[in-house]
Amino acid sequence: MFPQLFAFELRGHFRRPVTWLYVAILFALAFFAISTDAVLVVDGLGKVKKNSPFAIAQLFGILLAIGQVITGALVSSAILRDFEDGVHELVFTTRVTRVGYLAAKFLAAFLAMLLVFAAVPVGALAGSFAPWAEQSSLQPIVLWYYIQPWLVIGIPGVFFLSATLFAVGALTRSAFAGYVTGILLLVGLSVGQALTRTLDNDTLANLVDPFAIRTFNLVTRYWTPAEKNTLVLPWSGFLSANRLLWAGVGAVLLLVAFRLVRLEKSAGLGRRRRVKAAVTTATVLPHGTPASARPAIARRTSFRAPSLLAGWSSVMKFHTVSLLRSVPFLAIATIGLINVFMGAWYADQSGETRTWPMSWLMANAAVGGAGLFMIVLLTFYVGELVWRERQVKLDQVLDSSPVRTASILVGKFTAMVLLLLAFATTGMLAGMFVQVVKGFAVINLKPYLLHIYVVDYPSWFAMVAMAFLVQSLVPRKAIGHVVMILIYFSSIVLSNFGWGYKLLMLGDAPVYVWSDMNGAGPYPMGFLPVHGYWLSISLVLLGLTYLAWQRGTERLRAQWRARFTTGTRAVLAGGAIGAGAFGGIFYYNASVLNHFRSRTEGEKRAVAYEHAWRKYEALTLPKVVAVSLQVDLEPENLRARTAGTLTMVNKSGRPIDTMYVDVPSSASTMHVALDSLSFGRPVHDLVGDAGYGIRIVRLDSALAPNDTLRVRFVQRWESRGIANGGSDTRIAYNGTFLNRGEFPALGYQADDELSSDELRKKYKLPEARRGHARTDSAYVNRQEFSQHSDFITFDATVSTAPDQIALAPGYKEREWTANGRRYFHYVMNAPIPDFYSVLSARWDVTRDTWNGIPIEIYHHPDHTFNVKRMIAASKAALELYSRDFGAYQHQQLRILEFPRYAGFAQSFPNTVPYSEGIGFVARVDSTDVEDTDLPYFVTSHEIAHQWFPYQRMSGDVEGKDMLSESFSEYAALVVSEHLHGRPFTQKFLRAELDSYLRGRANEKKAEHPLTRTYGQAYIHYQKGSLALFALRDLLGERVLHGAIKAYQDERRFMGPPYGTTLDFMRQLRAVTPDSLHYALEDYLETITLWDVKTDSITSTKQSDGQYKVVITATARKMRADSLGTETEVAMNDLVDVGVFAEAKRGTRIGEPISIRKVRVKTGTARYEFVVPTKPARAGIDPYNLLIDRSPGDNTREVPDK
Amino acid sequence: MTLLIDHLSKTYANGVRALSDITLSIPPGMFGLLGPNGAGKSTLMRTIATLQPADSGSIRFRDIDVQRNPEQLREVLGYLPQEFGLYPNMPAEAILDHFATLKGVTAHGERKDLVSALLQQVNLYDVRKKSVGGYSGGMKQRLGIAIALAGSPKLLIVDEPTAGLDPTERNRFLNLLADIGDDVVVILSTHIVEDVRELCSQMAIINKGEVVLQGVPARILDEVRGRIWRRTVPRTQADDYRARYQVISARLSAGASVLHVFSEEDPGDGFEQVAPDLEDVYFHRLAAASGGRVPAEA
Repeated sequence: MFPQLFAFELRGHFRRPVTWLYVAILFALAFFAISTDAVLVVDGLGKVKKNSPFAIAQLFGILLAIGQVITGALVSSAILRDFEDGVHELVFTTRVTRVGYLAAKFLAAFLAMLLVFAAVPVGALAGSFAPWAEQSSLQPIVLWYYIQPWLVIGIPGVFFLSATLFAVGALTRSAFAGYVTGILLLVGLSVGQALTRTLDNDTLANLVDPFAIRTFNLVTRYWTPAEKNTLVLPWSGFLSANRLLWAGVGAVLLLVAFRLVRLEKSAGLGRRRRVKAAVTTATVLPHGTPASARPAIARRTSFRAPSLLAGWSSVMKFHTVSLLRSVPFLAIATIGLINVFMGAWYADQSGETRTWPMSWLMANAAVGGAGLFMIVLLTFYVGELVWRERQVKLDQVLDSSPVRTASILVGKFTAMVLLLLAFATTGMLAGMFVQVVKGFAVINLKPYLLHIYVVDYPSWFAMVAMAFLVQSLVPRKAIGHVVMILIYFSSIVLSNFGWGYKLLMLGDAPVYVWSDMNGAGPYPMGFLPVHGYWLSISLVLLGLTYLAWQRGTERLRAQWRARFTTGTRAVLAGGAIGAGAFGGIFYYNASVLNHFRSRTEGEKRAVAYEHAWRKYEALTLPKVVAVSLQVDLEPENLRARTAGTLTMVNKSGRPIDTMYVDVPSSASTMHVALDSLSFGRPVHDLVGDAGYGIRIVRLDSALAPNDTLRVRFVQRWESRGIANGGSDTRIAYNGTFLNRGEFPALGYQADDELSSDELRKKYKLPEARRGHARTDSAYVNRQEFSQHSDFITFDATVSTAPDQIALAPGYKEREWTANGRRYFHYVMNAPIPDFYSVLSARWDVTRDTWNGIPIEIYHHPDHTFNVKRMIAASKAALELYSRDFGAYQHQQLRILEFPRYAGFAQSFPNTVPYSEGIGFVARVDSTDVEDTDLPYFVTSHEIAHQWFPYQRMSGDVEGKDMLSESFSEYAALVVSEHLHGRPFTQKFLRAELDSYLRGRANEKKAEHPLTRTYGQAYIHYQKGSLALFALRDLLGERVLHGAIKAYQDERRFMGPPYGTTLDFMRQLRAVTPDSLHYALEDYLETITLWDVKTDSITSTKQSDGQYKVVITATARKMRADSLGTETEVAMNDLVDVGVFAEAKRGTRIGEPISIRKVRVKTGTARYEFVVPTKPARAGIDPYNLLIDRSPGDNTREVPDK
Repeated sequence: MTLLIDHLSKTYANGVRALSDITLSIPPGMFGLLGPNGAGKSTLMRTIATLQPADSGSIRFRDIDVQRNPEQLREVLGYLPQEFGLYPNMPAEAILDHFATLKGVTAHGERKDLVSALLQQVNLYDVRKKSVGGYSGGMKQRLGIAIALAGSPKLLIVDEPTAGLDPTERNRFLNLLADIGDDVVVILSTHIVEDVRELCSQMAIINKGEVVLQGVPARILDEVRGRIWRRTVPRTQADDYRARYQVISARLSAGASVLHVFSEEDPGDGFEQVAPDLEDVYFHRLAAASGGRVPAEA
């Protein structure tokens, strides 16, 4: 009996078209993920091939998670179908046992699911053969790579999933419970992620994820491209633990289900209580009771259908109440709210950054956390609303009532959008609640209301209307769900193709970013066109839905005609006209007034630029030596006039007769016009392109060697209208920030080329630039900021609105008011790199001094959280750097807050613009083990740039970033350590180590050693600070700082030639004892990885009261090539081994009781300590100074004995 | 005041001819529509209830051309379909209130009175706040008739309302129907002959989409009066009798078959004459319509 039943069930699954629909969807997703860029499920890959075991496994994990929501119905319906049809009672009366019946059903569903998910490897394999697939992104096919993820992730995952859904379906007998379970699992994933984000919780984080996505990330987080291309997921450690756990959970659930499920009628765990008592006692009025004895029912005399309004109102109220009484609806909404709440709760943390729970942040979290659930709620419940009566078989009663069809449709639509409104509102309240609970009770209603009700909420109408149309057209509700999923998916595909045009992306919300400084800024301009367009489209969709709405038991063509009344036509026409008008306004703004470029168009523009202008790259040009700016800002009108004189000298030794000037050109909504560009002598235009802002002229009389040329430019800036991607915010009502790029430069700009290897190959461009060799004198003679400048002198006159302060590098010589504008004149008295900016805002200024040097923080009046901390950091940094690295070259230090449209801090000479989003609202919490006091650190880092590289600029060669960023990062870490102590530094280094390892895992080209880093942030920031800090420990601070100072002193404020890491290494090597030269090689000149581990610790209390601690530790060392292929090398390195006291809250390690540097060789060794107090923790490399992929096992707790 | 159905025909897309030239005139009062499963009763009901169109023919009620102006008919219509359900998570009161509004009882006070009167009439007042998901079949059926009655329809159509109800519930339900005013056209479709006999002043039998017979139940009995004969035989012999006589119905009773035979004269052979009831007419007509053969189980 069992085999027949099993075979019958299995055949049944594959006889249903919907099963094949699932197969088709999964196959298509996998197929296109491999063969095109349309489905970007997998992270940017670079050197990692799309059909590498890494990419295929990741694809599989993600599709398993997404796919479960779609395919869950397969399992739950397997068990539910019989209950619904009552077949289970028939089956129950046959010879098959209860367990046999359930087992056959489960096994068939499980096997069917496995086969459905086999579509992923098959699709991926087929995708690898697609003729159009980019061959360079693929590697030779190894079948095992395709099958293995299905085996190790798939089988346990599908088993867990099937078991869970089967158990839920069998126990609740509700299809909805199945859906809810699926969503719950997805939310659980994100909640689990939020809960376990601390570094040391890897084990827990791994276990809470039923889809093994996190597991996958943990296993592969430090894999280099070479490993990603060749390694399959090892069935051990994280993976086996996770898979076995969840398969086990599935098995337990299944057992529970098998035990509890009864097949008798209505045996679903007794949820449904019958209404009894009242009925039996109710009196039955006997037939023939005189009419007077019965309650009188008023006989109507006039018969009229309810008005459109009355019908609408009743339908709306009834269905709103009905949904609010529905348990699954409340369950999904509650899960959604939990998700919003969790999102808001953790919104103030991202990596090492902790932020005050600002209102805009909470509003962001509320909108972000609600999004998925808005989609889920509207997809399912529009389906419910449309199919409700047909489902409960009340459609004939409703349809034969006189209520107007429009009332039904609009009533249901309104019920849906009202419920979404309630959901969004509750989310907002959750955000406010979190804000208050987290101790920042200053609720700023504006960003909440604006973001939730004005920006986000109206954008859902179009999606809801679309769902109504889809559900009114499809023959079954489930098909409507699938169609809706495909519609969402098509939006993703559209934007992946770079076609994320607001008028194409169904219900896309207008672009909006809140800034406390600049409020909603220019964004509200886009609200009306975008919302107006989509609301008009919604009207059209609803009009069509009305035409398609089934009334009665047959779907009729005639109905369309009958409903195509004047009113309907008016609605459709109104919607179409509205869509045309608002869409037209948007199109005019985004595509006529401004440009919309799809990704491909953008790429082609860069290609055209390179084709046309690269040939001028080698042009010899004079060097800029002085810059004088006149900038008139009109922030209130989003306009500006920039003018200036660039003084340049021909230092080439040969006459120069051709000039190449690159001026800023229009971008986004910013229209930039070049009023004039004069050269102080007669010129002839040779060639140019206003679109790129390029002008190449021939000087009528060539510029003789050492002769001076003055180039004067006048440009006008104006922000016009709106752009698809939002407005340009460089000029803002409050918080203008014109960076160096907003002023002219000389010569071809290599930075504007396409940089990705794949794209360059696609467009047949020469290979991407790599860094230039450190010995290439042409590039050593060219400084890193601007190839046609040396050190310059600088002054700027800036005018702005009367209530704003304008700032530029230099010292304020004069401030005055003219024509109702406020003027400032800044003059710089020391040579600076060709790197400056102009800012203007309404700031409060907090002042202090260090050794007579003014320190000024220009900040938004409300953002006083960290101003003192920034001042303290400034003082400490100036103190340390001027002591160890040479005098501070300026007489003033200014930190300027700018709106959070960008999230960086950047050092200009004596001026540090610092984003509102990072330091000013950061919340420092020293009891948090992740917190690294970012405002203090970043301030110190930016100040260090005044030394590195502004005092000795580096040449445009490999390693240049080490001389600026690594030095600054390191210097800031030393400043932070002075404040917070060594245990704090360990936290920082551990975070840096993690970032470095992840960074190299994602390297798309080739990893360089630190001294040859080239534009690789993970190397010159993270590895840089780690390496220099480790060297400080080995060489001593004085030696290391001495070498840095010697490097600076060698050519301070001089150039060309400019500095290279070869210069620094020469200084460093000179002071490094031979015994430590290995460390220079390991940290700076090669890619070296260590693997040290404390295997065991024993601690015994001796008779003298002291503790004898014995540590056993293993160590080895590897060298990696640029793609990450490793070879082991002999180790004989000085490493810390130590015993520590209890760690304070917020740190991982306490003060050392005893620590010593030991020569550690490859292999296992014993280390003995005798310490006077009770040890808490001990081990090898406790401060994480070695680059080690498992830093968590360096120390262990000392066992309590 | 009379519902006039004139030459109504309907063929479904799958080729099933559900209504074939049906002409009926239905006066106010209770009208019974009898017919076996698949006779076209439900199609006829749905067509009258504006839920689907006919291919040809017309339906007229009080100057309303139903096919052309379904909206007008819906204003005076109450309809209880054969198989129907209710919003399971909602209380009876809210459902009834909702439908009363949809039927045009939009004045709040009037509707409130109406809802509570109806709930009392159908004996659900005490459980009006309970979700109908927990109601028994009979309770649901009574709430259904309350919905149909809301708005005092002039045309009430109830399709197989007593199927699946126990005798008590069935009684309760028929009582409700009996109380409806005389000026209302009530069409009661059923395949239970007793329902018609007890309640209807007029009736029709349809089979295979055609009207087999129409008239007053009492008079219809005259058609077979004196020609219905009964005999109880062992079950095993039933087939022999079928072959020999025009058996119009066979019912099991205490393990034996009770046969009803239509015969102009006494068939002898132990048959005794019985007073005919509607069932005999019904089966006789059905048998006649299908060429004298009676389905074995009938």
